[in-house]
Amino acid sequence: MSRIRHLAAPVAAAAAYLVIAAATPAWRQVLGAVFPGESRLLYPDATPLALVWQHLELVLISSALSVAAGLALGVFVTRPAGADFYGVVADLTNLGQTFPPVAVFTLAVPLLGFGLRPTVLALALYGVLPVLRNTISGIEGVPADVLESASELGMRPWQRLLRVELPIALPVIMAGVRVSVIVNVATATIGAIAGAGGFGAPIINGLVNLAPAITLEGALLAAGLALTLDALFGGVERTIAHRERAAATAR
Amino acid sequence: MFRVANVFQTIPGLAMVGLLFAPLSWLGTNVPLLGRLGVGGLGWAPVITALTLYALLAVVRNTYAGLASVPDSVVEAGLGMGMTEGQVMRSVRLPLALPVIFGGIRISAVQTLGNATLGAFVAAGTLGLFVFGGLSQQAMDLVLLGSITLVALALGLDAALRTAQRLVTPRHARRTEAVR
Amino acid sequence: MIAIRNVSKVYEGTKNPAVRDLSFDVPTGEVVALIGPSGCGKSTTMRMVNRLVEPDSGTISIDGEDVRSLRPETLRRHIGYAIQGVGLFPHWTVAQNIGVVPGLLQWDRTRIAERTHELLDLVGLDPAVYADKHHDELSGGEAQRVGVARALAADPPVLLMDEPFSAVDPLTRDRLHAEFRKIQSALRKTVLFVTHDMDEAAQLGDRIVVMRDGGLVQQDTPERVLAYPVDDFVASFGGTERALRRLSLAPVTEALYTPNTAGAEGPSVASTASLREALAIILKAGLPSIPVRDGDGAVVGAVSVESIVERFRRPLT
Repeated sequence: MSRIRHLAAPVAAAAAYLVIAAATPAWRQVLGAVFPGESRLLYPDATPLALVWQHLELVLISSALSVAAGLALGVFVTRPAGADFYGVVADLTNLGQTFPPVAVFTLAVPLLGFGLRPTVLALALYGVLPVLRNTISGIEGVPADVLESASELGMRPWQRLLRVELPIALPVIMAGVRVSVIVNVATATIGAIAGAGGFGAPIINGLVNLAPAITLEGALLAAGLALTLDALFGGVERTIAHRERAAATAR
Repeated sequence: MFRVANVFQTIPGLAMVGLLFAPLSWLGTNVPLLGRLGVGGLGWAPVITALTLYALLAVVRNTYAGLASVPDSVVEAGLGMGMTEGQVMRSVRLPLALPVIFGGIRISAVQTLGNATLGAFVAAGTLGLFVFGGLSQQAMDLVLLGSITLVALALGLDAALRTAQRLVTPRHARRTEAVR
Repeated sequence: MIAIRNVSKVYEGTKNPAVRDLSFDVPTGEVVALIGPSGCGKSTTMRMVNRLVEPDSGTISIDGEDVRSLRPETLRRHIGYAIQGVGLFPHWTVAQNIGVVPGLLQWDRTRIAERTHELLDLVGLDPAVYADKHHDELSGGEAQRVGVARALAADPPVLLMDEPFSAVDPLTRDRLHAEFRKIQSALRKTVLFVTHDMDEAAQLGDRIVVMRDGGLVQQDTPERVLAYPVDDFVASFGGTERALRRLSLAPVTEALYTPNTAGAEGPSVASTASLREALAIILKAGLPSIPVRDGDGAVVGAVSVESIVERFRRPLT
């Protein structure tokens, strides 16, 4: 019961976020009060909640791809079979750190085209980096003697991976996933410019048409989503750490 | 303090700029001095503000880490020998922390370079104009031009600052260089 | 002399005092070893002398002057300070490290350079080789020597040392102990040092102060603390080899006797050695007794297992 305590607040925050996003009339009222005399209060092409789903869709799909690819590549490169590629991959991840996220996105979109699908792919591409980097460092951080004991117990390599390496590397990997997702939320905001929808649309609309209320709507939704997701990840990380501590003391 | 800087870091760049749009417009219109300086919802003001807030976290975190990395025994020796707190900070902690602090400055600088593209959204030009403008007009050549230049600048800045960082690292620390 | 009077200290957030109403002296020119288990308050006590820690009550004075009458920095510039882990400034050379306090006292360059040279010689490090080295180029033993040199740099009358020789291997430590004794016999500084090692306390200290739970348990010469421990705690601190430790404190001349036969062949022991070394040689040789020679090689007497035991049984004055 106590491990859920870490998730309670973030989940509540997420629920609150969705509820607030759904309350379109409230938005109209509040924005109308902040910007008296302004007639263009809300983004015309989608309700706040619809924007949330659009953005979430972008983020979740691309993040799922990033995590899958990053995890797979990270695991591969730390196996004997993939050892040859380790150097190249390590160099690329180091290089990629200097790459402005925006650049990956903007370089990918022309290559992949415009619209939702290519944008998702472009987002997934940049999101791979933090997951890959942390998967590698997390797996490498597993103490050698623990690996040896696992082999001595008779575990086959894939068993060792699933039951020893990944669980131990989980906190580090999770931190990488967290970074990936949060950066994804930010880059997806810009994704609007490639026609993919999401929060970027109202923000840019408001900036271009000098309609501050619309910009604020998009900005608040975006900031809110990023912070809520970050809080959820924080809760997950603490739950994992808590469970490990509990398991350790139980030994 | 970390919490606050962390929150800022989590907010998407475009959203940050969007959040600043209304307040800065208000300031620009209602505070004549600021208006004359060019403060407003568009232009350099939101970009600079947002960039500063983002740069803050990396620099603060690395500065703290750098100062904390100075071994306790060294600080204690300094105090025990009769240095004042100020002397310890100036002659011992800062010089020893400098490589890490500089690393934070480097990371922050490169990050800021990338973030500066946001300027395009608030009529502040920058490479973002090529990149995002190109995207919205579906002009591949503009996008590529902007993106490649951006990447080249980022890599160049990183390399230049790494060299500077090496110069700033006192000889004793160069052996164990774990430059991040 | 360092006079510690009724000093107490409770750290914030803890219930038990770290130091309880502690009083003892460090006579001028003598070495006092503060010894006790972890957490007994010995390090805290030492740090109260140079005000790295401020006592809650009681006074500490050096040569009659209350340590609180000076600014902390000024006080510390006149007290030598050597700690476990040394704390050499890694970004400065050995010479620059040694020159720190003289620099703070604004000595001129030439004087600092001369003094640095002198001190490196004193601690057995060739100035030409070591002056420009950095911390990471030194071995553990060399770093500790530089630490001692640094503490002595401004020629302070008082030295505080916190387990300064603990981070090296036993062989190096014995060597450092011997050199410290040599330096101390020449300089006669007033030294308070902290250790958890009874051997070290016995080897270096003119007086031992045993602490436990913040209070003083016994205060006496090393041999008397080993021979007449005031309770089981002190006895166990001396260890099960207390007797052998005592042997290393007494010179062989105290068990000397004039033998009936000349017997000057075979293994012998120097007159400067301790009873323990003599016993070791006797056991190794398998002889009932061995001759004792002075510096010129002349036989001054003999020592045997019996004479050692007899000396051992004699009550201490």
